[in-house]
Amino acid sequence: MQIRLRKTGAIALSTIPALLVSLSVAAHEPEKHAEGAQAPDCAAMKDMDSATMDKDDPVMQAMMEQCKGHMESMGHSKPSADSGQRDHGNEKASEGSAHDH
Amino acid sequence: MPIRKLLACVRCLAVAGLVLILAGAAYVYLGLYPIGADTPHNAATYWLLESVRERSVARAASGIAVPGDLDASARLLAGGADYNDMCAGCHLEPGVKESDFTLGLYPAPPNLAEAHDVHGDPETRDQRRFWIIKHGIKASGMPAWGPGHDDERIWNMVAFLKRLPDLTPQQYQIVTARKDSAAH
Repeated sequence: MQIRLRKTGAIALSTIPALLVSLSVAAHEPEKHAEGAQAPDCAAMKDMDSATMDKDDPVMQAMMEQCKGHMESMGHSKPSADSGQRDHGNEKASEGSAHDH
Repeated sequence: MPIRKLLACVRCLAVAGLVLILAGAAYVYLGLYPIGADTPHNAATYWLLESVRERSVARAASGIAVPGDLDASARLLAGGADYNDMCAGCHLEPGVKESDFTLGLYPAPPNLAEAHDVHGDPETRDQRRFWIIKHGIKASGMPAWGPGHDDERIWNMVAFLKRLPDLTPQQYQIVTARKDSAAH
């Protein structure tokens, strides 16, 4: 009986810290943050002044990357060649990154 | 004669030093220093703590190698989402002027959505931000993110901070949203 209790105690002592460590690691993963997070408000891009947008600007490229699917589904009014250029710009930016989540 | 005078002077200084130490110890142990976050430090304490912080960060951050691709859009996206989740509550976002944390923390966290960082050249600023995000600042409310986040992830946040003051609220929302979120 005493041996059994000792065994249970040893298992608890080894598994609880392991569980706590794994939970704390998981809490910092981007996927965990994604639960309940807001989706990009791509509709707001329609109201932005396209004349002031620079497709070489990393911020602009990031926004296009975020809203790529949305704009395709909306049948964006810009000519397809223009969209192609922007997508190409995003690919280049992604390639240049050392780390992408 | 001069030696007697010198000894008397040394004795005086030793007594004065001892009195100061005892007075300081009494001040600490009697709990006379107002430690509440809603009471600002006096000028001397503020100067001392700020000088210690700035000199320490400058020394520790000086040798850090800054990646050459901090302007990549992929870094903006990764760093922006993390900033929104982990930093915006204290360091704010475009269009937001205060939060419970900015009102209640002391020292008040800097508003990183406004262009105000005057710490040296761009490389020094990047090194400083990386070091502070990774290691935190003692007794300031700024945690060390290093234990749970690798260097690349921290550099992504530094990359985002470089562009944060340029963003409108709409741009901020789009860039910081997690594309894979369930609400999409």
